[in-house]
Amino acid sequence: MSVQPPRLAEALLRLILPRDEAETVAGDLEELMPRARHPRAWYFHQVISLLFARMLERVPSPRSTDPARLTMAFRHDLAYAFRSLRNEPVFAATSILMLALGIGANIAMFSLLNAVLLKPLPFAEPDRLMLVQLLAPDRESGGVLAPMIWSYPKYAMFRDEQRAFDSTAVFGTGNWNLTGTSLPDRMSGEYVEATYFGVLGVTPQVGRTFSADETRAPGSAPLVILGHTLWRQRFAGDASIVGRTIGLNGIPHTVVGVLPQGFRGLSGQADVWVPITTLSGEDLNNPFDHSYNVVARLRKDVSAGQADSAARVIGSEIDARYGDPRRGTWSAAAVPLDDQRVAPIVRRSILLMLGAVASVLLIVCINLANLMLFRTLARQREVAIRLALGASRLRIIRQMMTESCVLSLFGAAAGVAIAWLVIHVGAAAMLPDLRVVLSPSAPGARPTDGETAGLMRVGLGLVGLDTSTLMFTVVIAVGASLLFGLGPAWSGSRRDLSLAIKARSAGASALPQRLPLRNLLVVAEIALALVLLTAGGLMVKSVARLQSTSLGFRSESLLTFRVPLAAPRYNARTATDVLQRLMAALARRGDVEGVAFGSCAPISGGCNRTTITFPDRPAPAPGTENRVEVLWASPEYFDTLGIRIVRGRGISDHDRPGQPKVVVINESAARAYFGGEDPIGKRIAVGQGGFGDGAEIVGIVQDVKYGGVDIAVLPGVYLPQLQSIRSGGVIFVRSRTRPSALVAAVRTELAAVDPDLPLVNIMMMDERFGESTWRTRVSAWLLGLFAALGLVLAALGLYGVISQGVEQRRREIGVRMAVGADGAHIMRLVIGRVLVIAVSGIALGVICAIPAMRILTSLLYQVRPGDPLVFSTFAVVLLGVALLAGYVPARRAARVDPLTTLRAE
Amino acid sequence: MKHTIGDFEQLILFALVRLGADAYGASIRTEIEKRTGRTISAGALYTALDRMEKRGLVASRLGEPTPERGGKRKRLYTLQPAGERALARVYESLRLMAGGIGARLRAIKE
Repeated sequence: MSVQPPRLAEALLRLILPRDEAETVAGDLEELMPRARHPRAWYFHQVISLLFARMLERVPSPRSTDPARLTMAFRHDLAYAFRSLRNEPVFAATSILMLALGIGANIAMFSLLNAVLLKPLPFAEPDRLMLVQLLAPDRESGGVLAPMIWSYPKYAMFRDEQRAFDSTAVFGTGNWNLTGTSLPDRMSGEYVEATYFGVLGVTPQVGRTFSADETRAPGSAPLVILGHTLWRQRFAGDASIVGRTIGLNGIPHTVVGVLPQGFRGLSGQADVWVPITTLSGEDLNNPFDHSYNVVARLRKDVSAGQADSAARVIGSEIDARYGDPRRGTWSAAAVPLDDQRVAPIVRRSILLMLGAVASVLLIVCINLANLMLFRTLARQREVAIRLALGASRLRIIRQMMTESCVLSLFGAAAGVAIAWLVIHVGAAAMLPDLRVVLSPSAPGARPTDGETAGLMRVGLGLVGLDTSTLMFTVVIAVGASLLFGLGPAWSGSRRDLSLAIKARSAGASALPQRLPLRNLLVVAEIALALVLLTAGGLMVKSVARLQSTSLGFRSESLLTFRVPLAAPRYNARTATDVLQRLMAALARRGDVEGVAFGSCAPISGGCNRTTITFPDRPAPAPGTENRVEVLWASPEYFDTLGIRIVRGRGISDHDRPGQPKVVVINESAARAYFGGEDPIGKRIAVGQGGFGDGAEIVGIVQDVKYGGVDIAVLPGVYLPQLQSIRSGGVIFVRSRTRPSALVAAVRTELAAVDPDLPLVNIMMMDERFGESTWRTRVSAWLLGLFAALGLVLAALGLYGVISQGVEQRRREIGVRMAVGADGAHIMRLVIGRVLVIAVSGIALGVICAIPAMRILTSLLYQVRPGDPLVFSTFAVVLLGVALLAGYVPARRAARVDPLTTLRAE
Repeated sequence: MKHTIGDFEQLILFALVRLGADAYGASIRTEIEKRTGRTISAGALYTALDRMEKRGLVASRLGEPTPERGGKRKRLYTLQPAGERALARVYESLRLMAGGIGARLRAIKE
């Protein structure tokens, strides 16, 4: 067989026919297809004819039961629709353009939703995959159980006792330096149990995965499986790599296999997979080192609910064995993996955007309904004659609906093009990767208690137009045509319109002068526009608030990067030496203003947390410990980042081992723990860094936002890096010129220190700020765009209705002017009507928006959903635009020449 | 109650008689198109077959898959007694009405 049937047409066929019938009909079509001149087009044509035959069958029609004749009637309607639209090119073009905008926006948003929430996860039988979580009592709110990641001993207990799953797999994320190659590189990867690949249903493209023996006990042989991209880029897709070794952190690992293209593990960004048992026994044997995720494949005869209950039972056994009485009772739970794929706030943002585009489409439909209503008025004579000649009302409605469908389908086709453009241009213009917004926490963030950080990141690559998007398009196109076409068709085909023939010849419209329905529609669309405007306004105000938030440091001209100094090549002391040498070399350069080390970068997801105690105060009750963020900072840190020292001193070069231990605290800590007292000279004990025996507070510094721009500052403690040795962290370089110009210099200096060291996360501080506010900015941008679209469309709708009203009442206006009314009076009359419509719309909009905006609460930053300034601003803007839209037809009304009008009658 | 059958349905019934045991969607279409020169749309054909099956004029069953149709099964149609009677009635009335004027009818050019 030379030609394959078009897949979309086949899918459509399966949609419209029952399964058996779809098969036999598809078989018939496939058999006949090779004979057609354009086989694929022919196939499509056949499926469409079936679709229409099915639809027409549902329409009861006493006169024509012969299917061939029904198809004929439909063809006739179609031809008629094309003719009449061609005769009104302006109407057709405007309608199609409006529909294209409305439908295109919907398609674009839907394809995002589809990629992020609807598309099945890219694993075998994804509905049987579950994430098993440990549940820990939340420290902040007592008694509440929060999901948590696993320690290896607890997982081993779960694995051995569970019966609800076919198999379970533990995995964690890790980073490795690829060494021994010309260009040292940092890779992300996963530590996995051998079962991991079977659970997810992935088979290697080359070689094999790990065997059960290879991940049985700590201390197993160093093996590695490569991801497809890494294999292609770094090893030229050479299959003989299997069996050879590559260096990871300086240790040779034997390559056992290569995974298929597209598989990046559950972390979504893995390039290598290493047996979890290559981790040290210390890491794996500690039941309180919670670092790993657990994924499991459900047994076929077990429901998700049963698995969850079973997990809870095992959870209580785990608590009995590894209990932590200070924190309360632990448990475990199993949740479908599909529910965990995006952070709730992202899900919420996307649904909100979909709501916004749906409102835009609704406004478009209202506008079109008004246009169609006006057209039926213009065609009332034609319709009346056809009714008089014996056409059934159904026949007339069918024909009008055919026109609506044609308009809508053209609009949808143009909408697909717009959506395609938006997706592609958008993908190119925005970040290379949507992961930043879609991941539950910012990049570089450490997994903290109560979240499965970094899990399930969805790449922008999944967004695109696929079959389900096209189905969605057809559904909304048909839905839209019903929405804007059915009402006008219904009212335009009324029998009593037959009066119109007589009425028209008598020279006056038989219809009521005012069409309350049309005015109500415009009121509704103004209300919708106001809702959209306030939503957009609130988001924009949030962004403004974010931008003006004090971060506590100077973010401009600041370059940040990490140097991973991994064991066993480096220990704490040699690592610190390397950092010192690198920093000294950079500081000597003329274009560098300052260099500093800090364990954690601002606005990037938060830092280590620990507890502090006060030697001179009673020990706190369990659950009420003082939690602080803890950072290690070099002496130059505050100076280089521009963090103001409020009292006392910063960290000095003399704060080294052997000297009295000192710490610096932030303003929040001073407020929270010392109230009115002066903290300088007081002693505190810090739970990390060897400062448990107490240190003296020597200074207070300004609050810095470490978590994110929109995350409140926590009490914080800074430890001197040279006194409590620490080498894992970020190097900050304050540049005198453009910081990006320094990147090459940093690479050179680093290579001079150790050519095997990669440079990681090199980033301008401004970029971190951008990432931290990305979601809010994109939401604001999109909502603002939709609101602007809504505003323009509502203004057009109002303009259309008012000018049609003026046209219809031209004669009345002429008469009024003939009996003495002047232009200004007529203008006041028209503007008065505009005002009534606009003010009612705005009032309705405010009433709807106040409760609706509560949905936005979690997305806003320092703005209340009922912000009176935003509401009043946009009410005024909308009123202004409405008056402008009404002014043009009002002026036309005022210029009506009574003589011409009356003579025309 | 007697149903009338439309001319399109008549063509299908004629095709069923001609095709015998090998009557299914594609062969019916080919048969009618070949003999009458009339193009038939899929929508009309399957709707008509469906309708006639509901009225008991024809019956259908699933047949075997063949490779030239992508391994998909056929739905084979057979004429039922009611369909035979309906077709016979139509043919009889046509025959009676056309008796003796066949030559004149054939002479009319479209």
